[in-house]
Amino acid sequence: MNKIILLLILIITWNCQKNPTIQQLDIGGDISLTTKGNKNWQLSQNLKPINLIFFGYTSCPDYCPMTLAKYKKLNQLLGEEKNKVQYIFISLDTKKDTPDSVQSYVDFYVENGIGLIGSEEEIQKVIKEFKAFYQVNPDGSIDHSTYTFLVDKNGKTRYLFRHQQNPNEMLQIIQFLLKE
Amino acid sequence: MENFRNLSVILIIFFIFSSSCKKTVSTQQSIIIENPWIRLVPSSAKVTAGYAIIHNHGQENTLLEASSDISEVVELHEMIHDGSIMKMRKKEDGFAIGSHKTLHLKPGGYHIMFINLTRQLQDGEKVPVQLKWKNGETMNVEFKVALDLDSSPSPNHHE
Repeated sequence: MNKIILLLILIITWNCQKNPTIQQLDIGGDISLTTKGNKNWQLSQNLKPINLIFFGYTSCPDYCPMTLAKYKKLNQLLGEEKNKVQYIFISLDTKKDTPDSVQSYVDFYVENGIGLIGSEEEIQKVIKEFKAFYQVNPDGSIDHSTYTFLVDKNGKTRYLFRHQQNPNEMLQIIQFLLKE
Repeated sequence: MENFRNLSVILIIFFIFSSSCKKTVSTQQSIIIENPWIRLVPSSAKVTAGYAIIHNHGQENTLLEASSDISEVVELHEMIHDGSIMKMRKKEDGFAIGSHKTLHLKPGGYHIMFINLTRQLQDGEKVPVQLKWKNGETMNVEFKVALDLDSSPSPNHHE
């Protein structure tokens, strides 16, 4: 009897794992913002196999550096495959950050990163499309979403990494999508 | 007698090594600060945060202020995770720690915020920070600069 149950469990789990898929999410869209040297940068023109998007600001003392340090670790785990990945850091601080300051902030952590910023209207458009959130407080600090959005080679949002997910968990999802 | 001498030598070596393993950086009366570190940030960032594990072996106390020459302003802050949204709030009344309690200043939680950095910090550098307590004590603690938690000094295992 026990053997039969065990066999059933094995069949069920095997079936579950046979065709795992990561569905497309109904958020996101093209991004058109400004990068280093005041150049326009469009996601649809610059797609990599894996595009990881994060909203933050360079005066963020805790969460943004923590996330970027995590990306640095993820890069180490990716090894050669990091060439297929780019990190897109979108600054929400339209008053203090500049395209150059955002880029140099990102460059400190990862070599495959893009720093972007835009006008308040442009930022709000992207935030809305990704169903994210931000709010500038009177003291200049910014409340913001902590998700990392994964956009695939076709520009489709496929995964939302929560802040608790470690680089190893991120690696697994990325490697899975790279095999598609 | 010979055995006793060997044992003494072993014991001495053991004590030397075990004392050098202790990570406790600063002790002043009832408050013990463990594993203090400041996050290394790019030169384009004008702010950073400091973290530590604070043990209070005495009466209830409150960390009222922190100060350092690495930044123009030092404030005590709290991060609040509201669902997937991160909010940062200043703790005007400081960080209260009950008697015989431990307070973790850690990423995504309480932290000491250094605003308008006056210079670029170096990885591994030790930054002196003064901590002022409600009971009138002021203590000097050296915070080690590190990129993130894993590269900061490892936590104390004597807990």
